[in-house]
Amino acid sequence: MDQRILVERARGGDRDAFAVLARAAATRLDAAARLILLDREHARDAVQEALTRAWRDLPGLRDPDRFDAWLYRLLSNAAIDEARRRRRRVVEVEITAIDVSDHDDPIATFADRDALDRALTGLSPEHRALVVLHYYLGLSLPEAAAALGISLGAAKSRLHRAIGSLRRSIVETVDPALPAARGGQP
Amino acid sequence: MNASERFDRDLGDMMAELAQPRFPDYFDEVLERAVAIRQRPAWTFPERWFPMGALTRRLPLLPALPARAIGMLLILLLLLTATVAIGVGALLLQQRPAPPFGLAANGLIANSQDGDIYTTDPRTGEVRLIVGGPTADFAPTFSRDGTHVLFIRGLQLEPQEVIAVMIADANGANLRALVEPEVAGELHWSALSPDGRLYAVANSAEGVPRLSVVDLATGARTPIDLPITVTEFEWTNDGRGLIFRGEDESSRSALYYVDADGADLRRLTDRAIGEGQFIGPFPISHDGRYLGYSSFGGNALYLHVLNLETDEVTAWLPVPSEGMATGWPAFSPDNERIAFINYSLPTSVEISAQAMVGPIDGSPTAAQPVGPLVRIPQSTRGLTVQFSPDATSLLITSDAGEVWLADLESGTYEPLDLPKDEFDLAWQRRAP
Repeated sequence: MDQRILVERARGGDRDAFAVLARAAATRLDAAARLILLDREHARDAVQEALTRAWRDLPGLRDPDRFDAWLYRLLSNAAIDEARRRRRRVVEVEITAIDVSDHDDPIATFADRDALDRALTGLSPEHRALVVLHYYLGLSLPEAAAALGISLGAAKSRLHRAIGSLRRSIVETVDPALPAARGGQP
Repeated sequence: MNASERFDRDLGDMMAELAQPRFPDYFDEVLERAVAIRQRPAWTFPERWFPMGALTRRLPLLPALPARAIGMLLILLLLLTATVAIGVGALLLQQRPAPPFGLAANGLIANSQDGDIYTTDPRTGEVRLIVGGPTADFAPTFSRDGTHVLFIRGLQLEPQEVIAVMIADANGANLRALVEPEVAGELHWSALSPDGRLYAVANSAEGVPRLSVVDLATGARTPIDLPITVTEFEWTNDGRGLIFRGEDESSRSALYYVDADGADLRRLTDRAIGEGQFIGPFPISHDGRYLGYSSFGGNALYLHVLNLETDEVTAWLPVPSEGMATGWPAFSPDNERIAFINYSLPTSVEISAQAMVGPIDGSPTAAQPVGPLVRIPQSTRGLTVQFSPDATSLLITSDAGEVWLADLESGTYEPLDLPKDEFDLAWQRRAP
């Protein structure tokens, strides 16, 4: 069924329609929450909160076509709130080793997920949320900025710093001998 | 493509690999808990009418009343506008009552926080707890004569939400229930008449909307059958009738008038204006002549002032330019000025809100900005305004919890260190 119809039905109190929408988004919500929070249980709590708010506040969604972006906003806000509550980081994102021997440019391949994992750990939840919203969930930068309640300028600045930090961390992890500037970091 | 561009291109995929997306095994449990709560009524969402799209961050909720607080908000905002001149409080009076309308002296400012009721003296900053304890008390408002404070007490959340409307002296003494505990259900609005004799409530029982008026002296409840769903209402200053926002079968809203006994139903607003979506507060001026209201349509918010004596729109402050909105009126006690909020969109993700004050006859060019220009990244109402009882200053509150007091004579303003919860602040009127 068309998502717009489902949203309109859910907005009118149709729990089955909401279940279909939530089920379709669940995988990405869970993954995004784990990337932001780096903790499986906290991610679950954030998804719970996001879906609860989504159901409660769905009648207020003006444009059904914006449902996905709206839901991602709820998720990112719930994740940041969760991070602030917990104030501790337990890295539980599963890591699977990948052979990087065929790649001559560690920055170009980004094959070392362990490096990315450690690099993400070095960011604040707010910075991770912005990176996840923009790069993983595919929100435009203005959309991501609106989701996090920051100005577009602040989002650009924050993303610039976050990506620079990620790039440097990955370079140093994958090949400590490489100069950080190789990745074109700021 | 350089390394930096490849990084940007591949980061999303890398993150997907890292997270290893999979359907969460906890989904069914999470979903069941999510849909177990009640949805907020659509009309309570400013984003439904606000001309700028993005809003997401939740409103702060009372810890003791998580999701229901919003429902309570309806009652309370009602009470806020309720213009409650409690005649029955004669025996309880501890001070000379203020006139119910017009100029009065400035008194205390009341608010609720964490389920307790506080008052703050805006001159000295002194904060007093007037109703505390384990009960969930919130959304205080003063009676129009300033002698009493009214608020909502949440008595029970499950299996049904039960509330009571409480009343006490302005200092918190002599606390009692004004309206006995009742099942709130889908409560849309409730308010006391200006003379304090009648209590009107609009709710939906088993999905059927209804409006009824309770005589507080006898307890008799009179149902008012209307072909329109009532969402919010204001008592007229003479207490003889209600002005209400109603929705027809196509969910189009308009403002109507009806006598307290259900007679003389008539529509006050033309649906053609702003496509008929009338939103936000619709205050009545202190002299009872004007009705201020906002309507949303064509992606903009418009402010209107209706002359209730002639049924004509005597003032229409048009939207100054594309991408701006004007609404949320408040009338001054001296019946000379109207305050409202001007919204604009400086960027695609931010909204600027500015309180304005102009003449009550509605000349838009004569309106002047008052107080700070506030940027709100995620919008609800943004700002709300109310005149001081003596009409010399404007109290401006933001949804972010900031409060300012602007002097209307000098144009200066300063922040007030007032606790602000999700409900509007109530300013006590005192005898001049």
